[in-house]
Amino acid sequence: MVRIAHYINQFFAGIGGEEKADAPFEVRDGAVGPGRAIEMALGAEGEIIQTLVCGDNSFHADAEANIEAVIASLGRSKPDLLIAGPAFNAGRYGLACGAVCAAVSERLGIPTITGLFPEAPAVDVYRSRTVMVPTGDSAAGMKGAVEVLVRTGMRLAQGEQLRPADVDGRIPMGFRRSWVTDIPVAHRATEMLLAKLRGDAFASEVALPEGAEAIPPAAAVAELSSATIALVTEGGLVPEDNPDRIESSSATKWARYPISMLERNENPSFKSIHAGYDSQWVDADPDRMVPLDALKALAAEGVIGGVHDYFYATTGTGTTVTHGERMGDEIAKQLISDGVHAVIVTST
Amino acid sequence: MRQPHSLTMHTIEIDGVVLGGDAGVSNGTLTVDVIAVTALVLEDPRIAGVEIEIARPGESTRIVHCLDAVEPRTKIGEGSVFPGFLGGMETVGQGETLRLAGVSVLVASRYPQPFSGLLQAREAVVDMSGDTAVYSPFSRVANVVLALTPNPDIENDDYDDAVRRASLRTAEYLAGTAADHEPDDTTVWDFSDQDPDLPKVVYFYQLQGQGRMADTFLYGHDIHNLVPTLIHPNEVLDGAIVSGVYVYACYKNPTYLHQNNPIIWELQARHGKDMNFAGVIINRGHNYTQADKERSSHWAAKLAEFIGADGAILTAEGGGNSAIDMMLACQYMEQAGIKTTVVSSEAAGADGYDFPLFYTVPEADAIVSIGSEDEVIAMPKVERVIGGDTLLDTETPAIGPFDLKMYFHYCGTNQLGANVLVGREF
Amino acid sequence: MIEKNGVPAALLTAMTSMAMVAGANRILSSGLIPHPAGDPTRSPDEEFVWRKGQVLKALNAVATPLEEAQIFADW
Repeated sequence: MVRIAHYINQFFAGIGGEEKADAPFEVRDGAVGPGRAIEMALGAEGEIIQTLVCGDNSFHADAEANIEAVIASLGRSKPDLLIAGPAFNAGRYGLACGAVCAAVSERLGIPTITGLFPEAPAVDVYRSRTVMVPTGDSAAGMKGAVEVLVRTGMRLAQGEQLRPADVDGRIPMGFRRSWVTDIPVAHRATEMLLAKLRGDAFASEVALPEGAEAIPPAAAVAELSSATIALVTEGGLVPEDNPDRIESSSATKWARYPISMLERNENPSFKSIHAGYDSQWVDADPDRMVPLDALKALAAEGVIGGVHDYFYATTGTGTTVTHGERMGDEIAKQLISDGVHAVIVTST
Repeated sequence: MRQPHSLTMHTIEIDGVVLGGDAGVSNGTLTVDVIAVTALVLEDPRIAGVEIEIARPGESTRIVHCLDAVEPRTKIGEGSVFPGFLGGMETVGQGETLRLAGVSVLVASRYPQPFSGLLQAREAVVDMSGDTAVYSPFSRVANVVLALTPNPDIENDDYDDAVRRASLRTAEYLAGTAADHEPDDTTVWDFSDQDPDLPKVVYFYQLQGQGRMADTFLYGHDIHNLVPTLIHPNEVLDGAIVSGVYVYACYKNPTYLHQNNPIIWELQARHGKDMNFAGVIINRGHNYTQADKERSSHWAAKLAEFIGADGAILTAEGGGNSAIDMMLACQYMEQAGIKTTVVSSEAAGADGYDFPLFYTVPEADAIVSIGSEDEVIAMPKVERVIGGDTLLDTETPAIGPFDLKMYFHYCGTNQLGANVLVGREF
Repeated sequence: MIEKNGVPAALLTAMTSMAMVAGANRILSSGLIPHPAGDPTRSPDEEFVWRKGQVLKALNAVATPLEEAQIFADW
């Protein structure tokens, strides 16, 4: 028998509508309101052990305290599953369901599920932090919503792995993962191509990106002859013992090294740890990745004001966009605080 | 375009492999003569030792250090399979060939000298049973594993050649031991008849040609100077293309999968039914400059136009660099009015939240996914390990348990479509 | 991200189309993938002169006012 806790708002608890939205958090034993429909759908498989109720306004007036109260309550009762809602297209109620589910999953490790209209505001906010099933936009769809909530919720409570969102009938959580299929790649590719040739509808298995965010060009350097220029590379050039343990692929770290050290290039010498290109030419002469000799010569000739004392390195292969953007931002802020005017980046 | 080649392929289905003395096939069981194969492999002084073991589907067995896999094949009558490596120089794709289906000769080895840099033989693992068997198509065939020990005095490049010849020669030898056996199936592969009412589909087949340890061989020659060219599907199926790609395991297209290319297999099966198989364009991936990538992809699109293709299926081999070559070819074909479908792996990060493709063009609106190369798989303890005691680089005990990135699963995200994974929204 | 923070950055790369997709603004085609600032086919002295030329082009790029991302001609 699966033991379930259920979160609802004041309306579904029968306290009242908008005029009672300030009803305080309370815990009741057993099923209340839509919880009875959930119990019907559960049959002998499970029961609702308690119902957590909170008014829509009072939840958001002090969300932190209300979430603490939920955590405290469920920490004692230790249910196998939390069901919140369904909240359909409701704004405040949906956000409360999302917040409660996310906190309970992350802090207590109890599986959680809520039901929302796919365009409800809470979907984008909490989709990656709790399981959601799609519902209609109003309580008129309660019966169907309860069935899918219970079916998917019971799988979670029994510790079963998630399946693809469409197989589970869930709202996608925003991540992709491999799944085993029995339809061969060659067959899918040929079917897709023939559909495209016939002019029939077809569904790409990977959607193309939204256009990348265009970054407005930075203002140009006004006077090169007084500018300090820094060198940055994603080519993985580091001292041979790789003291900062920058990853050879899928990097999450960057480091900077004094250019005097690179000029000396012995004890330690510099090598590429980048796992995405053949580094023999760069290992033989690091200037081929970080053109320090050329930049120093141009500084000596007075073409630029000076070379920044450090060069910056990370590895750009298999590096995720998230980490790439973070590292770029960190490097940029360091360069600005060091008074660098412009940068030459080398990329493999 | 006329396609005059006709290849008669005799297939013997093998459902069991045993080691023994009486070489040949009997009642679907292949007996491998250990002494004969050992002697064959050790004829090459660059190889110091060989252990021969069988890894069968369903066994609690793990194979490590996989380099290449080859299906046993031999020509009936004149000629040899894998010309350029075995026998004289000629083209294949005609005459008669015998294949042993359900068996691979899988060569596993370390290299004699340490590697540095990108182009090195990297770990490649196959689990023959359990939940982790789905991460390699070689869990579904019986593998005759040649676990080699290199002569320690030779250079890696020289040993590389020895590895390749050992597996190719063993594959030809094993098929030869069954030459007198009645085949279970005989199929004639001939695409000469083209139905004018059906669309013409070309296969854009990009091969990895990046440098030693990451090279593919066309009739015995690396493809660094290859411009896109036409090749008959029968040539591919008959041993024209041999793999020397030993870098990241999940991306590799081993010789076995060139011989049994699932895309070519599918297109030949549908030829004359709902499409015409109009030909195969091979292309070098990993061109080093933007200009070379543009040159190559424009050239491939031009060839597809020459043969009047209406549609194209595109595959590649390798990671982000090769994806650019393929995507550019997709773009230029679409711009020439040729509809395309692209096969691609996904790289959305270990947690799957990043955008999954390295490089895209707006024209690539029909992509078939072969799964994520970024996931980390929990590998269980197994009863038996073949090929080595510890994993390359980390020197983790190969018996397990350990966590293994998808990169190191042998053909886990095979771009020819040999495996069973697909990336999905969760 | 460096440009986003207001510092002009020139990118030397053999992969200009990739750089464009990735959102770089001042892109220069240079060298080969494994050595964007190298040309091992030249003698060391000639290679240095060539590299100085590439770096000078990059400096001109950061000194050039732009409205939008640009691949600078490899002249």
